[in-house]
Amino acid sequence: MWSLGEAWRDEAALAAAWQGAQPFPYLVFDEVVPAVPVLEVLDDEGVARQEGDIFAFEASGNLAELGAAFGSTFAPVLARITGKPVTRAELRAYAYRVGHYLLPHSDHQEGQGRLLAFAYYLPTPEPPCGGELELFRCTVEGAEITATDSAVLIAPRPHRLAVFDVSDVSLHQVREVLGGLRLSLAGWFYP
Amino acid sequence: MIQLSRLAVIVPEAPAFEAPTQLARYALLDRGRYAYAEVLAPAAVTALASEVTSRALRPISARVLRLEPGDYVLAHHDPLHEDHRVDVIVDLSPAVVDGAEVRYQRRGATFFRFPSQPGAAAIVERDPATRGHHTYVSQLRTSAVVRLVVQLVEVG
Repeated sequence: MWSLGEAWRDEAALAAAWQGAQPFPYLVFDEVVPAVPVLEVLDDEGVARQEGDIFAFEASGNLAELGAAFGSTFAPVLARITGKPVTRAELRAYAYRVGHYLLPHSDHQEGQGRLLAFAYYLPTPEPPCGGELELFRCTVEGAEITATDSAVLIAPRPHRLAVFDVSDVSLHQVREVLGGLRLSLAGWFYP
Repeated sequence: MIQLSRLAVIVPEAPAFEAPTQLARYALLDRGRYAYAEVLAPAAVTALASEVTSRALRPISARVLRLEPGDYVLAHHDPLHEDHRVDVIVDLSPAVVDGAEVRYQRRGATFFRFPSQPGAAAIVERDPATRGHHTYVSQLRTSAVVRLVVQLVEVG
């Protein structure tokens, strides 16, 4: 279903970009177009509203088949680029409607095995206003985060894939959607 | 002894309180984003909490929180306490802010919601597994949420 385009060819340059990225390692790939439209695959998948103290959005369950295809395509090359021993991916589909958000968090949970996080943005009938992926710079003293500052904004452009490191300081959020509809696949790569 | 149910109620008419105008900004974004000021707990709030809970209470902290659109206080910013304290939240907001709530949860499950209701108060008896949080205030709203948060413990 997925294929790697020209942007993935120079792995040494991508590895250097990964290592040098601030506030923590991340990469953005545009024009990642699947051979089969993902929205058609998702037609049978329902999404349900979910809400917690850090999020409000609509999400599907784990999409095992899609995640396996995604992982088998991207995990090998991402392992070489990032140096992280990823072999598989799990993902869900997300719909952020007006007023939906995901507040700052790191994704890092002891024992979960998440090595890399990703978001892949789908075409949408109403392009979203807001909904950017925002990365934060954490100032750490000892084991404590003592300051958090906005560092990078990644717009949810269709067929864009954002991949980023998972660690104690990989603080990020999805800004509130103020208009339109933001559709994405997102999840993590695991060993 | 395991106490399965503790009191969590909304009192429609809370004691009046004038919020300070000088507040400090808090912004460790993995915990919360809001403005706050430490204040003296009003005696009328202590009296109200004591009456509603039928417990002799004394205040241990009081602060005013102001949440502008885009602000929030996350649950893990509210530490767990073993002392079975009581929280009183007085909504001092000038107007109703749709969707802005204070929520209490035990082990991740929400058991009490205090929606935006200017002039009202919520009184919550906590147990050692209770955390509270102030929900994200949508940037689509135009006014701020102002809340007096008083914590009390039993006298003695």
